[in-house]
Amino acid sequence: MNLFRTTTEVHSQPAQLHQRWEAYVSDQYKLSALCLLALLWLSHSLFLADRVSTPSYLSVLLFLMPLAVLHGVCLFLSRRAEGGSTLTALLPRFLGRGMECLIGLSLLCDAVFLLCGLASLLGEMLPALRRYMIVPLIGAFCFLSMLRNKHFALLRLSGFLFLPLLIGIFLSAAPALKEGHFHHFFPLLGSGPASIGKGALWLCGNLGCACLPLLIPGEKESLSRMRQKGKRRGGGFLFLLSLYALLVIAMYTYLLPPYALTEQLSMGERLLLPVQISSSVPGWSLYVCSLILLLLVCYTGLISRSAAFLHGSCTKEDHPSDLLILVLILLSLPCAFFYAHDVQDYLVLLLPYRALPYLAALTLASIGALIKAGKRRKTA
Amino acid sequence: MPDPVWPREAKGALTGAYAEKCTRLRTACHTELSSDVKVRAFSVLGHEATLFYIDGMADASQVTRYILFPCQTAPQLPEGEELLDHLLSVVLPVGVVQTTCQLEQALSSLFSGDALMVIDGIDGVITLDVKGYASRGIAPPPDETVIVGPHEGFTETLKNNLTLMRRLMRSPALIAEPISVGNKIPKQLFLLYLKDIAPDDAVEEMRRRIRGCNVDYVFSMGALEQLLEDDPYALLPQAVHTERPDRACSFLLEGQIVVLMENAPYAMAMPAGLPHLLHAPDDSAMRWQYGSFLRLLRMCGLLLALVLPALYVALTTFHPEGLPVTLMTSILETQSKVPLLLFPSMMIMLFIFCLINEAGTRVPGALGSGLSIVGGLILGQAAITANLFSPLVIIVVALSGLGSYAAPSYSLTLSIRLAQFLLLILAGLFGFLGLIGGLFLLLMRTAAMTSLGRPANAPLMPARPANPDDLLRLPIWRQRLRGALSNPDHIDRTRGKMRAWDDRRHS
Repeated sequence: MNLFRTTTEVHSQPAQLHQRWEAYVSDQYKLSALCLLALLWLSHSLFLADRVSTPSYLSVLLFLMPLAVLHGVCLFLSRRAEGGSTLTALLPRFLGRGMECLIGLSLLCDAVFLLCGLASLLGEMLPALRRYMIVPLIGAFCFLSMLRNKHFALLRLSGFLFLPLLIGIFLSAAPALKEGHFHHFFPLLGSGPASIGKGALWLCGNLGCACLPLLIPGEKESLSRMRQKGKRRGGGFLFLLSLYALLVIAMYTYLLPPYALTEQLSMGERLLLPVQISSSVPGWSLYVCSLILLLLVCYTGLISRSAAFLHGSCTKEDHPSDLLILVLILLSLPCAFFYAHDVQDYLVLLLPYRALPYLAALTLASIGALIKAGKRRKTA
Repeated sequence: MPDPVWPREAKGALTGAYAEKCTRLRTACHTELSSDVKVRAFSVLGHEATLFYIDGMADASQVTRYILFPCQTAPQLPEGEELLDHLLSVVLPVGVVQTTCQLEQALSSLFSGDALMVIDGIDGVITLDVKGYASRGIAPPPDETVIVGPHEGFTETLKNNLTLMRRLMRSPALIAEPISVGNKIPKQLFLLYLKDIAPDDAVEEMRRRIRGCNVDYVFSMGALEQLLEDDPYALLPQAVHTERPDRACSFLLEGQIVVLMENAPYAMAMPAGLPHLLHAPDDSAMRWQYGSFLRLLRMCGLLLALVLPALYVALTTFHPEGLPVTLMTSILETQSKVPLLLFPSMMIMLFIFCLINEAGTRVPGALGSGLSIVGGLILGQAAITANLFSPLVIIVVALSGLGSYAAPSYSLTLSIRLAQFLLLILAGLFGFLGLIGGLFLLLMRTAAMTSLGRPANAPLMPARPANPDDLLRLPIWRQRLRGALSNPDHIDRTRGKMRAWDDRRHS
């Protein structure tokens, strides 16, 4: 008996296909935004809070600037190039199979990074449960929810949860704001501009490109049929989201207890720090629920997209099989289970450099688009 | 559609001599065994005739007044006139008259309440519509009572139900398509939809599914729903039922397809999902502020019903740091007197609540007060006094029960109860991780749900431009679009301002 069977969707009219395409793209952006937020938050807790000292949110602000520039360049280029209007129009051009494979692996690394964070957080929250129970359980939730290709369901859920999660994360800090530490914002430049700049560079390398592949629809065959007259959205959405992340990170920096910046703490302890000073039951529950749900959705999303890219690099079929998703989950579990600290350290070192091939390919694609646009103008 | 599986003697062409036709009909109807099949021989216009009808299904007075009396008093057939033409145009004052040579069709009409007339010299048989079976009158719908709105409900008579719908929607755009389901004993259905507003492919899909139901008999609308739904293993229903014609009309206006069925005192609308199950009939009849408030209240109730027991168990068992010390002390004090752990005692209490609820539904009215004494006093008060359950557990169960009653649909209430147990077990075993993981799984299943091949929970999951009447009920003059499941080519309910008389900008 197959408990997870659904029938295929029935859509034949062009307007319906177009509507479905619009919803798909919108939800894809929202999932990407949630992933970016989760990765930012974990990176800030793990890396920035120590190295840059308290005003690490300034690094996030600096991280936003290249993203804005990137968005601006892409907008400029794509207006001159044929077809779409923004970043997503350019990205598929440099998606060769090798690049797809690379992106798939890179997203798997992000998933492992998230899983380590989630497992560490849950380990702190559930001391009664051993790590060997928690990690497989997260994998089980992820696999069961993705069984029978629930990629569309995950996107719909991201679209649905997007605003509630953002509001929940923001509101959960609100009851404790009166108990914060204003001096955490000073000195404004923390350990100095160089340190903040280095942090921003690290974020650029780690996150600036990690989120981009999420925006590319994986189901090329069926979605290109749906695309018809769909208008594409730009990276402005990501920019706004990053601003929101900046606000939230600043807010939680304000809430950190005084000992937070001097002691060596695990990832889970760092994530739970902001609510330790709060006596509000709803605030605590909201924060913890929002954070677990956010990390769970993002981990599933990253595994799903990773499987889609790896699958796409080998075959022409639309959806990755359940087996591939299971294999990726099983690959990610031991990393979070046995070697969480080592893996985290390696990932922190490794992940920023994955930006290089992306950036090189994007630059080549941009130059190509410019040359093509120039030629067209001449012939016109 | 698969051919109805009739007994061998009830199949084939009804041709041949008069006596042979009568014998075949008698054999097929088992007149020697079924005493309610009446057979009356007489003569009309100088020809021998036999009338077959079912006592109770056909109106005996109509049979006498409109068939037997005119036939027996008719003068001889005028020269040069055809027997059948004269009979239909002059003798028989019956509204719906048909002739058929197919035995299956004749028998189907006979058992639907028509009379069959076999006449010597006429091929086949004449079916005469003299239906007159006893039926319940139109009354207020017992399970969908409203404060504001009409008080008419569907009955078990298909014709009456169709009339109620026609009376509310006097437009040729309302299509009532007859279709039958069931191989051995076919049951009459009507597919109702608004031309151009319901998507053509959804109507075609509905027809295809009904024709593809390969069962001998469909005994209720609930059984039909189970045969038609997309995902039989989903927790949430993928069709919505209503006893109210006005609500069925509102489904039609949103582009859904409504099914009416013989002997079913309610209509079923598809495609449908969670947003439709959250709506109560009088939401739209009230002012938008009241309607939105009530919907918000209902949603809070359902959320409470779903999450509260699991949240309480997770917080007190696994995450006491999330609770203030005073509250935790009070919980521990009450719990310390109870021999059972919190998780099993919550499970037992929820089970008892469901048991009382089910017994309350099935118990005859006269025993209801006894049940409330057993449920309220013995199980509530006595269990606390005997220190079997903590009072806080009972408060949590009562609150969650109250929340589940806020659901306007009984199917939704039941699915919430089942999900409540699932979340409670996960929270009892794994704390917040179980609770959030369970919610994540449930939400993923809900997001993946389709109804008639469409995303059932649109415009929530996925978000779509549609009538702003899904979660909250925004002002009626803002509802310029139809539902997300309607034909997107005709999604505009109206063009321009709805309050065209009002010059202010917001209208």
